[in-house]
Amino acid sequence: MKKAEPTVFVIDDDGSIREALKDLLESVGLRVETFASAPEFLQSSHSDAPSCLVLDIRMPGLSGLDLQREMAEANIHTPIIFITGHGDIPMTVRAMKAGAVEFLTKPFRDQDLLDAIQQALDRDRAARQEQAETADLRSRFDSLTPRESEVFALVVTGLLNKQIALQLGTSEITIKQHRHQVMRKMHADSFAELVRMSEKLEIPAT
Amino acid sequence: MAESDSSAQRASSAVWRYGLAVSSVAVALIVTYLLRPDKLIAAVFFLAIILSAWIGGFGPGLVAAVLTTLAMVYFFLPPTFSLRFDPSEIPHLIVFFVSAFFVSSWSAARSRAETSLRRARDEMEAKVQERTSDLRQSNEQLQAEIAQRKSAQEVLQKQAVELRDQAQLLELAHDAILVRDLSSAIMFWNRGAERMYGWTREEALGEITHTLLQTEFPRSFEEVEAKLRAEAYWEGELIHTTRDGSRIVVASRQVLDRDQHGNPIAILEINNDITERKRAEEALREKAGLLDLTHDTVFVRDMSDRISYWNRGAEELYGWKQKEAIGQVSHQLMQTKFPAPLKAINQELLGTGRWEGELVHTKRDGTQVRVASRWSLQRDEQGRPAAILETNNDITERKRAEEALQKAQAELAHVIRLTTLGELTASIAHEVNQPLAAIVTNSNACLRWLAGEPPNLDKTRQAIGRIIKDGNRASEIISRIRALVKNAPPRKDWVDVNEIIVEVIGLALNEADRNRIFLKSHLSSDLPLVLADRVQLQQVILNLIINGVEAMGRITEGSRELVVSSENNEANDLLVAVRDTGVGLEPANLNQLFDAFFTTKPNGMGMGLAISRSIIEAHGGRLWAIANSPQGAIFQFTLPTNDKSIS
Repeated sequence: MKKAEPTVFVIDDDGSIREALKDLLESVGLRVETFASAPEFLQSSHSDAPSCLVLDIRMPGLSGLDLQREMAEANIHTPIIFITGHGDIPMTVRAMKAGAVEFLTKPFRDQDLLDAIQQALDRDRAARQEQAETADLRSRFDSLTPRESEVFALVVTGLLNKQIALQLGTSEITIKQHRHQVMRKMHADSFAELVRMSEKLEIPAT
Repeated sequence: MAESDSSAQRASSAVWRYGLAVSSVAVALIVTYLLRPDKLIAAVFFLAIILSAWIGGFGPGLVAAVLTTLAMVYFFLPPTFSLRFDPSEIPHLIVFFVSAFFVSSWSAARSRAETSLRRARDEMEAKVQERTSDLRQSNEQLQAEIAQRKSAQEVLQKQAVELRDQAQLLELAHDAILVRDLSSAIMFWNRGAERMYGWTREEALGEITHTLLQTEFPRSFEEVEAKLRAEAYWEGELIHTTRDGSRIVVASRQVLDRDQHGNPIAILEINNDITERKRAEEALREKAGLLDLTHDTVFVRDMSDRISYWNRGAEELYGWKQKEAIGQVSHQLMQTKFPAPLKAINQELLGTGRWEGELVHTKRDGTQVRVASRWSLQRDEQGRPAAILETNNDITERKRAEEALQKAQAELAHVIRLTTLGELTASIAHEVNQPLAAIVTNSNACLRWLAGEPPNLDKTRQAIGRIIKDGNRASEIISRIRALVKNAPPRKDWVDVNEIIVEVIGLALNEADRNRIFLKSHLSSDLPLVLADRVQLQQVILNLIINGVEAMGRITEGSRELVVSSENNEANDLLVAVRDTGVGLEPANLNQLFDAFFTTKPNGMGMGLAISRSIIEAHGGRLWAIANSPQGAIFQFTLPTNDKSIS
């Protein structure tokens, strides 16, 4: 795993543009990696650090829009900022609908690009954090026994221990113990927190 | 009269012959009677019969036989002196008469044969006598003549020897030289003659020229002789037969030599073998005869450029009639202007047997005509150049039309370039925008490096360096576009075809995007530079790409991919191919694809491919189309990579 430093990936077939962008972004302290084509980017390995793509729409071979589609199909959600020599409205709409952060026409104001990059990195950082938290919760949930999972699902629906015991055909004492185990394993400080967790995990009510 | 004479003669001879018969029988009777009147002596009577038949012939013989029989009956058979007789005597009488008859007829036949034999001998004798006298007479004449000739010859021989001495000088000549006396006997025979005819001097001397050589005269020997006597000179063609039996045609010049009194002495004959020349001329003339049928201009000239044949086409083109042109020196007659020094042209003609090129001729009416001229050399059997056949085609009009067409095409090419450019404005904008965007971004970066505490001057300097580079690049792009728009005359530089392809792909990218087409390139990295007009090549490649893009714009399924590739082909030419996956080519249209004004596009002008092809061909290359698999078309062209294209 590489250093978890935010990285901007610049993909443009024009060498001058690549160099200029790299220099501009480095002048504000960003880490930059450049690629001359979309396949070159796809073949490289990337760190887990927050990142975004500055992508030229028009390139020989795989175009920017094609890359955006392929990434979506591969379930990669790195935010994309499109840059283009001249954008027409249908192309812009298509790109934005597919989740682009920004669509900039060359030559663009540097601040617009830097803002868009900042926004994209924030978005990616949040998304990654969200993703990490969900993954953590999931692993905690996976550590529950089947009976505890059942109890978890019924508890968060707001049923009392007595009711749960009746439904599962066991004693109230046993349910109380299970409930305690669930709270502990899930690192939940309160019942309210447990409910939020269940929402995140999208645990279906049985 | 002669007839009545001879009949009278015959009559008197008959009287005489029959009288002889009667009298000889009478004499026999008397003799018999006188000797022994009582005894018949038949032999005497037989004698009378034989005599009558011998001298008088069969008739008198028969008469004598009858008379004898009657005399015997009358005088010797009892009763004597009466014509009666004892019947017992009848057999004797019959035997006697028959015997008498045979004796008579045999004797007559013998006599006749003897007479005719004698007559024949007499006639022969007379004839021999006659002939002998004839022969003697002519012999005398001949002897007189020979004597006369001999004396004349003695006089002449001295002078002829003199002439022969002079002829000795001619021994070295290649031509056959001979001297003949007035009776055509050969007196001198040089080595040339030995070579030409095959007879050695020893064999030829004294022979009669025209017998030895079996001379065939244009008209007659007499005519030649008459002219020689009258003008002392004769010139013409003769046919001679050589020792090995082959017939040769000679150009003969003959001079009569006279003594100081003006009397002819001898004839000097110089013969030059022109058989081969005649044959070559004949062959050419035969072929040329056919050429009278064609409308092309055909004429034949000898190695000194004198026209020997002039066909009807030549009469029509140049205006001179056949009889005016023949014998003239062709290049003078037509004031030929050559594309190269005549010496060089002739060298090529003699070396390869042919020459082709464009000439300018002046016609009889003074106007000039440009012709495509083809010369071929005719050689004789020894391989010596004999004649030149020249075929000319009037290309004045074609040339003018070609020039006009070229001009029109150039103008159209310009129009089409502008039209294509109009379609490509967006691409051009992109092309210029690219370095501008880089400049703006670099400038921003620059400001940020300067704003740092402390300012990063190193980075600033680098950024400014890039700004300069991109500024130059933008300027280059603009001048390239200006060249494309301008109707600039073609100029050839050493260019990198890959570079041109990349540039053009840049220009066409937007058009491809709009049609959702992948534009790819497979460029070989080790291509040599080619000598070409950069703008024209851009135009061709751009045209092929736009065509491909449009062909794919009209399809609804299948992949949309346009690949431009470059490589070195087997012939070591540079091959550029543009492959599309579009509607492809109709086999029916393949032939006209490159024709001007042929188009399958709704709004096409049909000039793009025609002009592209003429551009590529002007570069010494070739442009053609084939089907792509599984669909679409491949348009490809070659460019020569070595110095072939410089010319």
